Amino acid sequence: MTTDTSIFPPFSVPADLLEAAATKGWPEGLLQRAVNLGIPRENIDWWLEHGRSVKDVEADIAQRERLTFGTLRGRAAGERDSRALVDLYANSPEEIGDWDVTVERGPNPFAQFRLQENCFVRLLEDRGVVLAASAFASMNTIVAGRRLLVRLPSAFRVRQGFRSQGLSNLMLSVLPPLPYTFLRGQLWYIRSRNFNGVDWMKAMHMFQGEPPSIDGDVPGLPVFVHCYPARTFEGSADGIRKAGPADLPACVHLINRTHQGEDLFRPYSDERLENVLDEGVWGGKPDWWPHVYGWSDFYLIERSGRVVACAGLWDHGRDIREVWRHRATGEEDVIEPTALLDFGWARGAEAEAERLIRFLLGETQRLGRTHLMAPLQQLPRLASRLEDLSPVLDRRGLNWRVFGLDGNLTDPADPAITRPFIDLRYW
Amino acid sequence: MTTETSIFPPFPVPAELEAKAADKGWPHDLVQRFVNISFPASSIEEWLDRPVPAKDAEHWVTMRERLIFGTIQSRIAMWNDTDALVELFANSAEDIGDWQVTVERGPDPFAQFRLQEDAYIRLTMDRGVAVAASAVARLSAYVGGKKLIVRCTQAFRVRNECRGQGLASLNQEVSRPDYQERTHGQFYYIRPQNEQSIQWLQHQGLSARQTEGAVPGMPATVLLYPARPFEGDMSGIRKARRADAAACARLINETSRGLDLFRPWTATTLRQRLDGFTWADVGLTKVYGWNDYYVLEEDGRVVACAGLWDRGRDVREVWRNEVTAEKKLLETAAVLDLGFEPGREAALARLLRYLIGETHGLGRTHLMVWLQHLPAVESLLADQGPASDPRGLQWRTYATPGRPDPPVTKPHIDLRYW
Repeated sequence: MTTDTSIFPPFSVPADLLEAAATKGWPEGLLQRAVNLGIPRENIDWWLEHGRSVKDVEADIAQRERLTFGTLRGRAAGERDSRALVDLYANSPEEIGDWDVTVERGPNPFAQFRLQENCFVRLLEDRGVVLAASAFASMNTIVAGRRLLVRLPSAFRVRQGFRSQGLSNLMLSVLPPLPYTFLRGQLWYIRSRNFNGVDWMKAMHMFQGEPPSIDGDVPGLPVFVHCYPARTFEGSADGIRKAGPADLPACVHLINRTHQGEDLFRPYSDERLENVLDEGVWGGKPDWWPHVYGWSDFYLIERSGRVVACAGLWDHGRDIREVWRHRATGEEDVIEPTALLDFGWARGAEAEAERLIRFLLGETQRLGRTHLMAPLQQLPRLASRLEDLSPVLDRRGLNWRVFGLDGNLTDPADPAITRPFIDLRYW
Repeated sequence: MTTETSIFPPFPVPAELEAKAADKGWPHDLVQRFVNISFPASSIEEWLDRPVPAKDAEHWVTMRERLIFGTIQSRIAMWNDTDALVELFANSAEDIGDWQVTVERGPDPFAQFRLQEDAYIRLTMDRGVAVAASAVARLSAYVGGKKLIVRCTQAFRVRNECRGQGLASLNQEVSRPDYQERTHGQFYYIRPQNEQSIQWLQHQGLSARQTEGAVPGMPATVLLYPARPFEGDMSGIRKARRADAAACARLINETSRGLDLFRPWTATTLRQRLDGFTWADVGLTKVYGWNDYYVLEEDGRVVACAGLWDRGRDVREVWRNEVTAEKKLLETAAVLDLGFEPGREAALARLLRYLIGETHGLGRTHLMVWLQHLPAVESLLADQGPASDPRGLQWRTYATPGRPDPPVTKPHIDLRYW
């Protein structure tokens, strides 16, 4: 862009600042670079007064320059970015033990993030090619009985061939719009045996000190979800039907009863569940609305005319596939699951909850998916009723840190998560 | 950034596409330019099939190239863009008749948009300098009795020194994913005599019918009551409590039900609004919340309610007359979420007088209230000598063939979006 005005850099450097920088041993040119970036004077003063190391300042400035003056862009993803994101995720495998795991996201790369609260996807792009991306959700929740606003970063990927170029750091400088920045808690999952990921997180200072590994696996509170292989449903479908708006109060009651008291569970209201099943849109869906999970995926079961269990089935595999390739043998395995969301049952109705899950396993088969994921770690009695289905456990480490109102981390994390509710929207 | 891989442009052009482009008389390298910006082949085909001149395609690809390969970036603003946004708004005046109006936004340039539903700011930067911005909100509302998702575009500004460079168009290139972006229609307000905006809107395809006249579009007027100390009867007036939410929601709904662009409240939504969307203390300054919401009780029940947003804390209008050099400053407070029981116009008027006093206490110049639908209340306050702030409301729908969306005939004006 050409302009005759003087609003663009290089900007003049105030003499007193130049003198202060020289006194602090800043190399020649560094202050000019900071000024050219439009870094506010008070920030530079703070760096000088508080003795921020020259190395840190140089690294910070170099990072900002990459995003300001070059062809590299850091920004929130928009509707034009779908194809580029599909391409990125297909080319960003993770090393998990002896396997390369590629989590493909497409045709709708935003599908999972759309189900999350206040989620935005950030990306780094160079000349139209997306090199890195991650998602960032924030939600109101309850931990140990205390209300918190929590952020959940997920799906962090750097394109293969572009690792170790500082792109992760650059991505972290892409921040959400207000007001979601000022958060109290941060939660993230690490896949079992993802030791490269752990090393990266250490380098990104995501842990407080050296994180303890659990049984030689990744750090964090051990959590798992049951993955049941899809199979035809041959039981009785009596009383099973899709839910409608009139069922909201009953379903909300069941969901809240089932998960009450679990950390990270926020009790549902009729309004909230309705909004979830309306897919965030009120009124009839317009023709252009891309479906992910809504009323047509939400089931209940009645006994004697009373709703006693409910559950949603998100066709996760339609847009998210895990491709596992064994590096030594070349063996390949594809996991395309469905996921159980928003489920609950009445006291004494475990048999109906079990039957509903078996029914949804049949729906999973009908959809052509490989597994049904069900977060039953806190519900062992129900899980034991489904043991004959030979579930595989998908294990992860749940990592959690809490910031005080002063912005400093609490150590140990306060409040602590002891009995987590796993919402597969964020898995 | 340097790389030895081949994932960056230039990319090879499919031969059949090149042949088709040549047939259509496209300039030699135009299809290559489309391919280089990773534009899908099927979409290039669509351009080739359209009955539009090649120069339109060229114009479009040039715009994308500016954003992809140059120093200009258009993106959603982040909280650390605060300083850049404050500076941009302070240097982006609008010409309104003989006046130059600068709407300054700071110290918190996000303040107004934090009050809106699902809002974000589109920001265009060049070498770290903010050169254009606009805000977009997406809300659920009734129009003509139908539930719609509508967009409100506002605060469109291009920096004084950078006009006429196509930056407004580049700014509009910012989007969110489709599920957050698309709507049935959109509305926005235009000030009378804002010729630059009107011309730009005509360029964007708005008809003369929508843009001509003293006030372009449907007239919408907000009253500005000069701030003054309150010396009246304040009996029954108090700050609202959480337990009042259901009664207040009912009053708000009774007052505005049936108006276009209004969505009835529930106790939950009102509480969420006054909580500032976060239910925990996150150390974030509240723009508008429980501390700003008032009720008036009579006969042992809440009969009127209204919120007072200290708009002037973060949004100021500086008017400079280019002929006389006269200068005036508008730093207003604004009434939000107003409601009253049928027949209790006098109670509402008393509450508003009280809020005019609060406005004075805050050091603001005026209280903004929308009373177009409440003429009885307006006449009860006539002695306060209000000025009026007229604007034109523009409403456009993206109608589905065979299912036209309804027109806005009786709009509800929410000052969050003014």
